[in-house]
Amino acid sequence: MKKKLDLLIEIDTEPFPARFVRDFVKGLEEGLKRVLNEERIDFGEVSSCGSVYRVWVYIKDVSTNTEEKIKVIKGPKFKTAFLNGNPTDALRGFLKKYNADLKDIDYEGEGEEKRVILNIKIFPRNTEEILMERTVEIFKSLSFEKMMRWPEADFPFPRPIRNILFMFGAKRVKVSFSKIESRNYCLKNDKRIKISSSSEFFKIMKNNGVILKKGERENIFLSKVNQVERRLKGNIVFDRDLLDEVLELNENPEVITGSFSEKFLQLPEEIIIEVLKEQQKFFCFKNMRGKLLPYFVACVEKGINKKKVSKNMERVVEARLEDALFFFKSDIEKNPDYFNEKLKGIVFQEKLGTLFDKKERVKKLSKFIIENFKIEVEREITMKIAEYSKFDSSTKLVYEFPELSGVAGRIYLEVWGYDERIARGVEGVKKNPSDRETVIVYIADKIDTIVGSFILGKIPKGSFDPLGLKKEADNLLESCFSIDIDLKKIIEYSFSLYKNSPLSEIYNFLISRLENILKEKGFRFDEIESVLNIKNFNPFDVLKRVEAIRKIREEEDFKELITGFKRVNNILNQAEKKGENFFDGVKEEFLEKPEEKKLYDNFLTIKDEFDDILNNRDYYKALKVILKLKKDIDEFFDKVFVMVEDEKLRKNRITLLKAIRDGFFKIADLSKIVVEGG
Amino acid sequence: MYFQDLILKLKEYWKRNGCFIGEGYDVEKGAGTFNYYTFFKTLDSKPWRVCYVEPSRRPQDARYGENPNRLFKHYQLQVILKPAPPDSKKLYLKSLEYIGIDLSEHDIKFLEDDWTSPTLGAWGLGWEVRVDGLEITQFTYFQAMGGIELKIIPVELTYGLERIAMFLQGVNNVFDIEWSKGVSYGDIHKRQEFEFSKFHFEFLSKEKEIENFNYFYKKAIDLLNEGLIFPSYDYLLKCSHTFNSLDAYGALSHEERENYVKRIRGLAKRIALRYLENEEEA
Repeated sequence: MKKKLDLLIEIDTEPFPARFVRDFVKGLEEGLKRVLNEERIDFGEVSSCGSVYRVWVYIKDVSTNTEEKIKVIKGPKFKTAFLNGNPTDALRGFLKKYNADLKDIDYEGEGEEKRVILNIKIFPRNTEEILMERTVEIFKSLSFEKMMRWPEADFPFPRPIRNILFMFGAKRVKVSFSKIESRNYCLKNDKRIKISSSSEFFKIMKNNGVILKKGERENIFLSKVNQVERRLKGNIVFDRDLLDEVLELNENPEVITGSFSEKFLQLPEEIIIEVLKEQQKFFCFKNMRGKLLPYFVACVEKGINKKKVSKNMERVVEARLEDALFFFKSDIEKNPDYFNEKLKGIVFQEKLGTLFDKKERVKKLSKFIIENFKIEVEREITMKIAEYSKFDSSTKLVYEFPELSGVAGRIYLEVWGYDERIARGVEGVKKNPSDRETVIVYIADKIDTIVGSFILGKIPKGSFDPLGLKKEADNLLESCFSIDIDLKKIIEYSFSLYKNSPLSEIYNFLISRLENILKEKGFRFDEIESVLNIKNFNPFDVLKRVEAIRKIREEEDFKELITGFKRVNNILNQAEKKGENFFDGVKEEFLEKPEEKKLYDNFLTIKDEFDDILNNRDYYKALKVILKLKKDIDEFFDKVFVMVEDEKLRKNRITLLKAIRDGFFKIADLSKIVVEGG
Repeated sequence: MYFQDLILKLKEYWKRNGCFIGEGYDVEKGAGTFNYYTFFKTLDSKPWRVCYVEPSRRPQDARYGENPNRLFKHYQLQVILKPAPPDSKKLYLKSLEYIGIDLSEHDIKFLEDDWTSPTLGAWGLGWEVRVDGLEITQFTYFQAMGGIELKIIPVELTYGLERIAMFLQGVNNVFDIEWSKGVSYGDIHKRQEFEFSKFHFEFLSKEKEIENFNYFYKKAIDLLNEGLIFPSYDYLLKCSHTFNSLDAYGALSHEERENYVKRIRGLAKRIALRYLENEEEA
């Protein structure tokens, strides 16, 4: 008849990070079960739990010893074990290793496969001894994201371990590491609580004001919250994560309520809720109609002076909300473009540029997705969502309360009177996107993050996933179920947007070689630069274009061409700096002055011819064709003022000039050309 | 309890617990950690216990004396126990009792809060200690200093004296703290706060400060090359404060900022290594 006892281990640490408590409990429980299973020790029901102060595992009905058993050990094959009936060195070595004799051996298998075996008797072992031997290894195998050393530590751990209660029935199991020895007591506020026997654990702890099971703590807390809810006629703003955290911070929960000045209710509710949660671990309170009331609810340890504590907490809450209100008010005086500019000072990830860079990439990717897959969306809305997808990261509010990222963006855009779809989209990109416009930006954002991380080599493997890419990938893929796009193309394009991607590096390498070759062929540096600045990489075409530039440069017309281009280019650069927009195409009805009508008419006349010539890659001739516009361009600039007040006229004029510049850009960026003497 | 009595009480408590009672170090700095008593004395392999008050200047937190909770200059009471004793937490809690906080009445929480100083190349794990939701102390087990893993792990306790005084005196505005009978914190500091805020946000000479930084940096290296570790460290402190000023003024782009931090951290490491070399020879 085997004897069975209850096993109890309880670890007292200095206050453990709440976010690690559950992992600690799980790791300890699994470690113990693993050892018991490996040693073939029977055990019954297992319970476990923890708080930031202690973690415990209770295992019922653990056998006090292992059973006697026979272990079969395979030795050499028969034909190598014996030579002419005599044992070989191989067999003697095997026997020596297991301290056995020739008479102990047995055989298994037939013919070629016949081999020597030993049936070794394993004597019963004491469970207590096994635990003494193997417990430290369980602790050493636990691993957490952040660990520390302390003077007594034998191995790193998230916080110093200060006591171990380890009992098997009524007897202490001796274990020692990091200069502590297992005891038959545990700690509460540095006082010892003696545990006479494992089975008495729960009772003794309860008598000492420690509710060991979190579920029980939760029931106590929630029933007290319920009383408050009835008294104040409303409900707390329930939050599972916050509840878990406060239940780990308090071993005998008590409820405290407090209030704050009504003036803070001018802050958006979500901001108040988030501030109290993240900074104070307090719950907010709403009335029956769901409107926020100026109350908060806190979880504390039973026995403190509720009145005093509540008053002190109110003071802290006021100060926090005062800060939030200050940040909120100073943020809303600005505008999203101001904050976008400040993104240049925030790193997205080291070596992957700033958040501003990321935003720019996301914009390009979003545009690419719409254009390549002909997705029916409101293009302007999509591009605005992309443009404002990151701005709130540089607001004071989000700097102080990072959890508000996304929510703050939406709230601010609403305050500033932006289209509601843009505001919701900006929040959606951070959380869960709903409309198609947001989904596109969301996908662009996720792909950019994943591609960037792979460029850095931070590739998830097994449980190694420092950047949480698996989650990003899952979210990306889920959202792709609602939209018909080929990710392959987008990923390739995304790669090309990173300056330090292997793709760009290869590209830059080849371009630098091409530059070299062209230089050796006698082209001038500025000529080469003007044609390489154009976004395609077709060496055949590059050569044709640079030859055209070279040829026309020797002619009288060249100066005319350059000045014409520069006039157009300069004004467009100015307009772009001011953030001016373009129409999709020139709108004839907005052409007012005869000079702009004439320029447009003549532009249309040469356009077909120009495109034809381009198709034949006769770039020299194409430049000559553009040159025909020179007179019209000069007259246009003499008589027409581009940057007029009237937005439609202005936009239209810019669009016209852009169409002309795009023509030039199909051949070269002439702004790179150095003109002697002017 | 007056502000001055709070300081005296804490010093008395830590003196009784074997601390050397030191003084703040008279070069501008952002935190007590930069004091010689912490930076150097946590590096070597000798035990050490110290308590001192450090006036700490943070241009970033300047608010023209208008914010009831934020200050350009505040006072930290700093305690180093090296090696960290196993009952560090208990010793700390007893110090709260010693200044009149009844632990059984209040909600005391240790919330995970790990600490890093990018310029000193230092980091540690620990908590912010809260009494009734108010953060009053940073409690840190140092792991590295000057970019060097510490042989002996110390514990650093940084008491926010103003916060504690506000708590004990029940006042809502830092300037209302009674420093001594008839003298308030505001009497001493309010005008200073205003003027230093004005100076840092409106009258800083950006180019000159950048020049200063470069000079301080070079001087620190020159001095170190001469084996003059402590003067070199003074210049590191000057670099650090100049950097903080430039940063608060908004004079630095992100890349520049990182670059400054990297330079100061590199310097801290060289000084730390040199100090250890000397210690080992001695």
